[in-house]
Amino acid sequence: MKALHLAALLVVPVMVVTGCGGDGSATATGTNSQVAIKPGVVTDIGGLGDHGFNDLASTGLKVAEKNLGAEGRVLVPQTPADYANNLNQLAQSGFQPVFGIGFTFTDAITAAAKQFPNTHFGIIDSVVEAPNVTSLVFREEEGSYLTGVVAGLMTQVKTDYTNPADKVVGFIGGQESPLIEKFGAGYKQGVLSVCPDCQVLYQYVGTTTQAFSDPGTGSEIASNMHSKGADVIYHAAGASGDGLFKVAQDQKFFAIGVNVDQAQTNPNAPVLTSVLKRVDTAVTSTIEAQTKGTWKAGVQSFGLSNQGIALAPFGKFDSVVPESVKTAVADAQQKIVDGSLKAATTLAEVGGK
Amino acid sequence: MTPRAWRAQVLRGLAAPAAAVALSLVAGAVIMALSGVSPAVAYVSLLRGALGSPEAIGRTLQNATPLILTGIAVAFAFRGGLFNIGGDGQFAAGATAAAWAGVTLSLPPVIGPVAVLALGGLAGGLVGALAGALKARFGAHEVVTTIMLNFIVADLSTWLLLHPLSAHSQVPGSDFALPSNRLPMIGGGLAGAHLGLVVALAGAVVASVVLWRTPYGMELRVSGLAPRTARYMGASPTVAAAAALGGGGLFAGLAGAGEVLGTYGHMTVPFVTSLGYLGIGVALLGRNHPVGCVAGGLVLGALSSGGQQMQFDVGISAHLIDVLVGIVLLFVTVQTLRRRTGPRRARAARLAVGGR
Repeated sequence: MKALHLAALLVVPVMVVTGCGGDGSATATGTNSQVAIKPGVVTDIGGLGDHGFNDLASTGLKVAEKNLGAEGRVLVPQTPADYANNLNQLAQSGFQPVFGIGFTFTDAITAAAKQFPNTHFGIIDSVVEAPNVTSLVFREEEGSYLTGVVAGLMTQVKTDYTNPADKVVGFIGGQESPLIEKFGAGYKQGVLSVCPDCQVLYQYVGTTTQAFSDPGTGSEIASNMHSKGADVIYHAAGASGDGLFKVAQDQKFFAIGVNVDQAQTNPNAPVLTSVLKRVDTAVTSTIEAQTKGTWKAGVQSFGLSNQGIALAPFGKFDSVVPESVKTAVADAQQKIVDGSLKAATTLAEVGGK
Repeated sequence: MTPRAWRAQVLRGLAAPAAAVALSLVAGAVIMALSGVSPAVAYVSLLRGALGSPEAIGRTLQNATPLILTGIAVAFAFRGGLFNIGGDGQFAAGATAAAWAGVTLSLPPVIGPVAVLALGGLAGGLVGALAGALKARFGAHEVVTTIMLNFIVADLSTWLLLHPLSAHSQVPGSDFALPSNRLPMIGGGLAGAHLGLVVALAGAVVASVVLWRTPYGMELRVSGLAPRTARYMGASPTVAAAAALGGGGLFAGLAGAGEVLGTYGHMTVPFVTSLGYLGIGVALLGRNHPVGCVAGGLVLGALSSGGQQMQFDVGISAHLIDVLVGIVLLFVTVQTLRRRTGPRRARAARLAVGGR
């Protein structure tokens, strides 16, 4: 039974691969030329079930398994010391491309790429300069800009959740870092573009990675911001954002989610929209490039233009959001995509915190 | 003590942790069987990942290196009657000091790593001694202060790494230590294993000698076993307390410095955490003896490297290893409790359980 299953897994991809030529690199580390595409993913120590990057990367791998007949593996390290070991295990067994999920893999991918020059590697959210590494980075500021436009306009509209009397919105970041600043800066710029006299409350949960898993502090900050009049609050704070959703539900104001469509993962909270960071798409398309022989090293940047970053649908609030807001978002998106508008990546560009 | 009696005691000391490991493997087998995986296949893979090749042994040794030291950090303080839960903070302090010194101090090889390690140990020791001093001066309970210091040190360390020590590269954290300050790899195919292992082994010897062959160690142990006796001996139990935590912290600091100079080369944000807490398990497994901690660290290190292999070969979640470690510690704790309720509180305990 198991053998049959394995055979099926091997045969299908071979049929796919043989039709596609390729530059031969796909089989460089395999034991024979009929090897299946075997992509590997090493999550960070957060592991699967994080409703974040690790799950998204795993989803991307599953999509590739389904659509491309790839036969993938996901490994979960227990400590950062396992990163190198896990990458080696996959590379040694002929897996490729091998992904490290998150910038914490920078050192480990750099070393593994040197050790296995014939294996293709991928890294999310970081840049590793090597001839066999593709660096998948995201322009989070672009989606954040759009969501800023939504927040800046919605705070001026009267709804069950917003009060036009206070033109105040909020941003809750996780760990203070350049990466999270990109979310906050783009958001603030978007808000000010449609509401120059709006006040953007801006706060980080903390300075350690703990800041991404502290819903208690997240809810405190959200509550505090709401008491100062913020009626739309965007977060880029991982699980700390759950605190925001709780408070938004209790005190009836809009929350904006991040990475995945958080309206679906928090159906009871008033999640207006979410900035989608399509790590899954990035992983799938990299695997696809491998099967087609179009894999290439270097930086692959994902933004609004290639759907690596997108705004989630307004869902149950679709009827609450005025048509003018939707038009403004579409306009801003168009400007960013055609290059006439560049979203800010640092707070310094938007007048500081 | 005669050699034979000593041997008997060592064997007795080994029996309990060995039984705990064996029992946990049995429990793990049950869990695996329930989740439809052959325990035999899985355990062969575990063994292969832990010891099956020079590389595997290297990974086990690499994992064990910091664990041995954080284990000693707990065991050393425990001999002075104190619970050192501050291993994580002391580890981070040592790592941060090494991250700074590793980049800043330009010293010849050999002297470089030794000096940087010493600074790391000193930093960890100071954090430990601070908790000890709070105990000595104000009677603040060390369990509370060491845990609180973990947070303080972690946040302080993060701030230092993001600001004054930042390398301003895309990975937040310090710059790489100068090559002359790095701990060399052991080599010989032992992937990942670095000379920090020698530091850990030396640490175990030094800690044992200090505890059992010096007047300072004697005072410390008497303070732990019988504080009033220690006072009659003229020892200040409070000073001994500060020294016990300071001494313990030194080993955790060495662990942190060793990871920076050996495994990682620099200190990133985030950096490894929870090695300090795992040290409690190592110390329990090692019966609070520094040499026992070597064995305890090796066991946990082997479980960890073997677990990764098990995950790769059989597809079992690596979390199963956490479960195994948890079960090991549970059994060791139960045995320890039974022993502690042995001679001194034997009667009360027997009465409590209805006599035996």
